[in-house]
Formats: sequence, C-alpha cells, structure tokens
Amino acid sequence: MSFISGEFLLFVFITVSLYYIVPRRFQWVLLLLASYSFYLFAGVKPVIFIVLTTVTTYLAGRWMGRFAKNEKKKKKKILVALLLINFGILLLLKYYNFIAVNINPIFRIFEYDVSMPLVNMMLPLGISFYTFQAMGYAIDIYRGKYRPEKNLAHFALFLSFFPQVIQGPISRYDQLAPQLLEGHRFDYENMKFGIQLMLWGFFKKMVIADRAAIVVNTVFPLYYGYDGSQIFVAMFLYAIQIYADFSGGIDIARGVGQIMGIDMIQNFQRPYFGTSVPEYWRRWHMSLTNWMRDYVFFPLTLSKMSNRLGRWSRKRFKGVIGRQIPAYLPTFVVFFLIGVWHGAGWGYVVFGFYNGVIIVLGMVCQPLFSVMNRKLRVNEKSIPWKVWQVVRTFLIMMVGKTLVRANTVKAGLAMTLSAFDISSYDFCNLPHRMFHMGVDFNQALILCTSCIILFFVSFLQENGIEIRNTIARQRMRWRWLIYFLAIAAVLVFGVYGPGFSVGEFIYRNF
Amino acid sequence: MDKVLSILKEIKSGIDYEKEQKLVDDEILDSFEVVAIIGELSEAFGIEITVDDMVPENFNSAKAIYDLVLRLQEEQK
Repeated sequence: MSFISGEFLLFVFITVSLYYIVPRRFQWVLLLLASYSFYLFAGVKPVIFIVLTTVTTYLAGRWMGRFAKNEKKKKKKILVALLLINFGILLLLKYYNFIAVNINPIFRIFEYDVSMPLVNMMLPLGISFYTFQAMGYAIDIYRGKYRPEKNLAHFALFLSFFPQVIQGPISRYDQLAPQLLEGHRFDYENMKFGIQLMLWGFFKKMVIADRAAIVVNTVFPLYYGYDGSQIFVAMFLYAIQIYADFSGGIDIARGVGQIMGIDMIQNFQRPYFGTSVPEYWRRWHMSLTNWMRDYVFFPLTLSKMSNRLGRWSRKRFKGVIGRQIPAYLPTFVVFFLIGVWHGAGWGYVVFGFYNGVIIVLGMVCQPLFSVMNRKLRVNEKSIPWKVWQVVRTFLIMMVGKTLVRANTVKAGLAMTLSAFDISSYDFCNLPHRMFHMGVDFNQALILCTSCIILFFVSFLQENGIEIRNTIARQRMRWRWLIYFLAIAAVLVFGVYGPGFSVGEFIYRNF
Repeated sequence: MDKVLSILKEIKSGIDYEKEQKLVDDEILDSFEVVAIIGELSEAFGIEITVDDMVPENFNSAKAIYDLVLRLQEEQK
C-alpha cells in the first residue's frame, strides 16, 4: 500500500480513530495489528522474513541479556550468529544476482565449469530498513546499552511500526519503543501538526518529486540527444527529486506518528544547505549515517589494529594527517556500505567510493585549503563564502547522484562532462529547448514555483524559524487560507500518472 | 584537565571548551574530530577508549572528557 493512495489515507483514518477509542493500555496492541495488516498488503511471503528477523533478534537479545556486561566473549558468539543470519538473508535476497552476474565471467576466465544461476527473488518491503533497525538493537544489547525487551509482541511492534517499516527512518529502540508502548491521549496540537507534516510530505512528493521525475525520466535515458544545459537541468532536478521524494515520504511517516503522539527521529535536516560533503551526510538520511557511525565507523576506528595504526601515524606524520590516518579506511568502508545499502549495482559501489574519496581528500587537503584561504584573504565567516561552500557541496552531490541514476556509470560520467562543459551548451533557442524535456511551460512554471517554496521554507527553517508554530500563531482566517492553499496545491498540482496512481517512492525499493 | 584542554584546542581551535556543554550534541565536534581526540587522549594518558565509551555524554564537555580519562585510568590500572 503506497503512502500516496486513498487506501493509505483510509487506513490511517481507521487506525487513528481506533487508536483513540481503545483503552490506552491496548493502544500498542492495536498498533501491532495495524502494522502487520499494513505489511500484509504487500503479500504473505514478505511477512515471513520480517517475522524471522523479529524472532531471531528477540531471542538473541534475551539470550545476551542473561550474561553480565563484561561477559563479552559469550555474548559476541550470539551476536555474530545473529548478524550472519540476518545480513546473510539481506545479502542473499538483495545482492545474490549482482554477485552472480559479476562472478560468473571470472569462473569462465579460469575455465571452471561452474556458474551461479540467476534467480528471480522477491525483495521483502523495507528489508534494508528493518534489518538495520533490528541489528542496531542487538548491538546495543551486546554493548549493554539497555536491557533486552522481554515481550516478543512489544519487540515485533518496534520493528514493524507501519509508518516506518517501508522506508524508515531507522529508529533506535530506546527512542521509539517506549513511545509505542505507552498510551497517548488525543491531543489536538499533535493531530494538527501531524496532518500539516503529512501535507508538506504530499506536496514534496506529488508536486515536486513526481514532476521533476518527468524531466529526469525523459533526459537521463537519452542524454546524448540533449545539450549540456539540458543535461545540467536534468541532473539538478534529479537531486531535487530524490530529496523531495525521500524526505516527503519521511514527512508523511513522521506526520502519521505525530497524530498518534509518537515522535519519530528526524531523517533530514536540509541536507542541501550543508557546507561540506561530511556535513551533507550529517544532514541526509541521518538515521542511516548515524547507524553507520555508531555500529561501523567507531568500532573500526577504535579497534586494536586502528589504535596501532594511529600510534604509528602520529609518530610518522606530524599534525593533522598523523591524527587522521586511522579514520581513512573506516571512512571508505562506511561509504562503500552506504552505497551498496541502496542497492546492488556498480553505480552504488562507485557512489560510495566517490564520497569516500572526496571526504578523505578534503581531510588530507584541509591544511592546504586553510593556507590558501589565508593567503587569498578569504573571510571564512562571510556570507558569500558560505554560499559558495553550499553551492559547491550541492554540485558535488548532484554529480554523485547522477552516477547512480544514469543508465550506466559511463553514461553518468558522460552526462557530467557535458553538463560542466559550457562549450557543449547550445545557446540558440535556449528557452525553447528548455520546454522540450518532457514538461510544457505551465508544468515548468509549477515546478519552479514549488521548488522556490521548498527553498524558502527550508531557508526559514535553517534560520531557526519553526514554520508550523508560526502558522499556528496566525489569525484563524490566515491559517485556514494557508491550509486551503496547501491542500489545493497538492490536489490540483500533484502529478497523477496513468490510472491516477502516483509514482513509487524511490527509497521504497531500497 | 589542562592536558585535555590543550588536546582539544590542538584538534579544533576557536571553541570555549571550558564553557561548552554540548560539543557532540550540537555537532561542534564531528566524528572525525572525536576519533582524533581519542587517539591523542589514548597516547597522552595511556588509556584504551573502547566503542562502549562512545556515548555523547562522555564527549559533550571538556569536564566530561576529563572524567572519562580519570575513570578509565582507574579501571585500567
């Protein structure tokens, strides 16, 4: 069941109504039933996988809970087995065919008469999200961060909570579970703000992302038929599309949660306002990057081998580089994993490597940049410098996303070269050609206006202005005018595809 | 405490470490800087900081970092 459907709105309406009708001590039971019903819409088979992850993680958690905090060796065996089972399932379902396609030619090179057959496998909805959420819980239990959940049904709700199960955010047990289990009284403010957040999500998804997708889907597959300026516009719009699509879906999920008094973690903090690639990643898909930081980056950088490397590097290289060397390899590992987390394909591998190289190069060159800026008398606190940093970061990420979205990595590189080669721009009839990318003048105008609204709202939020509170303080007639315009914008300007079904969320497939 | 402050200032200058109470929560220090601080602390105080110590509360202020160092020195004697 897509978030963008009448069915989903009806489902939310019924669930929320029942949620506030049943006694508060049974609200979590209702949520569990609603969540599994929601998941069953995708079919019975996917449920088997989420149940398997739920049961194995629950049992492993209980088992690890029997040992004292310092009995790590015993707990480690249980944790490793659990990680192997669950990441093994994920690897098999998501990456088996990719591995087979790439390994079979190697078998042939060495004249081995074997090949891995390709298998048409079903990928359970949200498997990358709930698997990571479950494994985060297990690692926290292993580390003794909190006690394991004793009630299997409570734990099942934590993993299957319907607003988050399909595309996140990847929640933490100590943040989400208590809220799911405690009862909530009906609160008008939560209801109002939750609906507003959902509406903003629908606007981002249906008015911006699905409209930008028309241009992207027109230009990307046949990029060689377009000039550099058109390719640049398509690349720019893809960066906007994927942000509006994913963050819109998260807004809808968080809005549903808020209506029921459940505050789900933030997943985005206006990433395109980041002034560097590391800052961008601290603002984009934060629940995944924080997961990688806590469960991959820190363990790797604090391992015994890394400590030895650190001692050696601090002696060998004085200053910043000596301190940074132990973080280089873990950075590559993290971004490789972030890349392939999104899917099986060389584009994702290259995307991860691309980010790793840029971040490590940025760290290595930081002293050089500082010297250059001092010599050139750059005021690093000035607004023009900040704007330049934001634009630079956006362009770097725009190129990275193009490498993934293009048909092949080679096509992505060709598009990038063309987009940044002004000599490939055909300045004759520029306005005319801009409307030959799948959208007419009116569609382009709506897209531009809605992007400006998105930028303006983000800019205000970036400057500490809370939009929903500001609207709530307005007089009733202004408030309702804003609500009416927002609803009308989604209904009138939303993109409706064939049969009035809107486009799938991109991250739903991850 | 002075040693901790001098390490912090060497890794990232321009911050009032004696007053700041949310070095990690407010993202004043990023993960790379925290890792660099840990490397320096480990060497300067002869302690081993493990992933279990990687909670924001241990790194949110110079005082918290100093307390962590003292605790680990005591535990790892």
